[in-house]
Amino acid sequence: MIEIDGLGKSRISKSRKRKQILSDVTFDARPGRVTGFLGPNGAGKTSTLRILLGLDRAESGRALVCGRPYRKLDRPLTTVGVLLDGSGAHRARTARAHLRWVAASNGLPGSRADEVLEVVGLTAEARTRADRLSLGMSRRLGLAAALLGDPAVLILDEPVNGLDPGGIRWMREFLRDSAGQGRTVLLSSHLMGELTEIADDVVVIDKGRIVTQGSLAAVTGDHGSLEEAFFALTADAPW
Amino acid sequence: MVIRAELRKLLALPTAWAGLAVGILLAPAIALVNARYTHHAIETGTLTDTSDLGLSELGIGLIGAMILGVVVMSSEYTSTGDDAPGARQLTATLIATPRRLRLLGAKAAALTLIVAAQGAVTIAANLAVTHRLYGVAVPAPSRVAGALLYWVLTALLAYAITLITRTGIVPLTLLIVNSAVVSVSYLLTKVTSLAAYLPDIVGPQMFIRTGDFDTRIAPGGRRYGDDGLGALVARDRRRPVPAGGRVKTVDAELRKLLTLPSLLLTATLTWACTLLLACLPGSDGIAALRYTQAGFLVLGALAGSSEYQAGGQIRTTLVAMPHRLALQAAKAVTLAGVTLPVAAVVTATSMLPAARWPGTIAYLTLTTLLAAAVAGIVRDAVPAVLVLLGLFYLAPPLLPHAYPPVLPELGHTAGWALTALTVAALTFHRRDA
Repeated sequence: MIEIDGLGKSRISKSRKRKQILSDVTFDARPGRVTGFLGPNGAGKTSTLRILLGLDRAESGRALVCGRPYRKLDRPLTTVGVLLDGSGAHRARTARAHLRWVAASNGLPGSRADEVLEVVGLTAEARTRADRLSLGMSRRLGLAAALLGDPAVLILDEPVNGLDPGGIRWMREFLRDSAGQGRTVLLSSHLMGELTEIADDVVVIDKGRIVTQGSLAAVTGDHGSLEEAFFALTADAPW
Repeated sequence: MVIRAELRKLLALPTAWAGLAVGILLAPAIALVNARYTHHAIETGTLTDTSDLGLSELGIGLIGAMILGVVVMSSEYTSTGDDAPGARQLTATLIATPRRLRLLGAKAAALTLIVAAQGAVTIAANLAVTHRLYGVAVPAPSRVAGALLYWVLTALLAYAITLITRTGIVPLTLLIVNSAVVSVSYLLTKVTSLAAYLPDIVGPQMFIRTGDFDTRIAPGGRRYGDDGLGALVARDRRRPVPAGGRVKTVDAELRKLLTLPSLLLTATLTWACTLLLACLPGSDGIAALRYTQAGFLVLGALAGSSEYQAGGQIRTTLVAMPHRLALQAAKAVTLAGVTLPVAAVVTATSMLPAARWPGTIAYLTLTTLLAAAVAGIVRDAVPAVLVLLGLFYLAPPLLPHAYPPVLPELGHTAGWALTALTVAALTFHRRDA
């Protein structure tokens, strides 16, 4: 269960003006469902996720995972699996060495590293340095780290970015299965077609504000498709 | 065409502007800060030959020329983004300008133009300042030209070394440590007369007449006074830490440090350099360690900034270990634990009398922690190394009166390290990752 309640944050831009990047962002992601977090580039998706994960601070509001702020979780990786952009690994470390320190940090056995490498199909790259991995492989390594603690909640930022067609299909089935087993899945994306295939609920954000949220069918409504609905809701976007 | 592109590229980098500003401002600033002291020296007759005034301060400004020489090349190898740590600007450059020698020539030309302009402005400003302060005559044009030439050549040397190493840390460390009080090149002149042709020996002869460099107190030798780290850890223990959390955090941090190839390389090189310097005739242990403590500064800076390098490891770290103060304490403890044996081996190699080992080992370890804290605050190894080497090597001889003789003494070093660690921990705790 993820509860986000009234998040607000501003940033001072280059022109010295205070720019509101999040205003009163409120939504939930429930267990057993895939929640798609949808919005154009720069709408505030990543900022929201970073605040949820305790990486950034909000000026107002609160974000809870399983009823607690992320920073208060004990052994957080056993509760939440996280995939942000990139692999999250230092470029000079091998894939296995990266996963082993992440496992150690949350008291997980080192053998989990090899198990998750197998799950994401990177066993052959275990001894490859992170900067030698292709974009798709980097993403798989990031996902492997998210799976280490067998978490009940998955938070993924643009999970299919950089994946090949096989990888995208694998990710889709993996996320559907995860929700089917009762996990909470929150993923951000700007790929409409992808979300239509996997999301149960949709939250649409634009310019730092939530413009609509609800089940996929409810958000699509009379617009015919999620894409049509999206453009109708974010009408003054530049395209 | 290519030169214009290179000029634009270089001048669009914030680091290049920092290098320009640092180079221009440092030398006149030092001259101003030293004014009272120098006046006093002239009046009391300790300083009789004033012909080097205005030129002798230029040495510290060279750091700006070095920065420019380094970034013109290292920027090509910096990763362009977290998504692809292997992606570098060099690809775009080589696609636009496939003829490599031409590219290197254009880079050198662009660098020369900018650095020559910087050198000219700096020398003019510095001579104007000293002329006003002391009324000394402006040196002969040939000496001014020599100083300018040395300025440009230093930048080109930094550029050339970076071309080989692809990272700025190596050339900056080599050049700054070597421009310290008694340079390694100077020591080498005692071994072979060929060393007189090394750039930093032969270069300044183009414009400096007097060469009196006195030596400074070296590291080591005091009692192990402060329990800086202990206090940090103890204070943090009051926070609610999950059962067994600390041990696991230390475990994870230890794995991180031990699997970083750059740290192993730095430690090995530091040890090898110490061995080499200790074997030079007339060298005691302190002389060798005075140079190789730079290796510990680099070690700390690399360890402290590794989280922020391309790939976005800091996010993984904070997602896995969100208790930031506990994490920061674990990082300091782990780094100290890893550095201690390295410091012990290096100290033993330096041929220092055994009675001074404990103090020296503690000093080197604290220096490493200080460097890591600074690098953690600036989140980048190169500026951290620059600041630290500047503080440890360039500032003391130039500011003999104003500079508190703190760094080489253990109790003070512990104080500095503790302060830096506390500031680093608080910054880390507060800011967006």
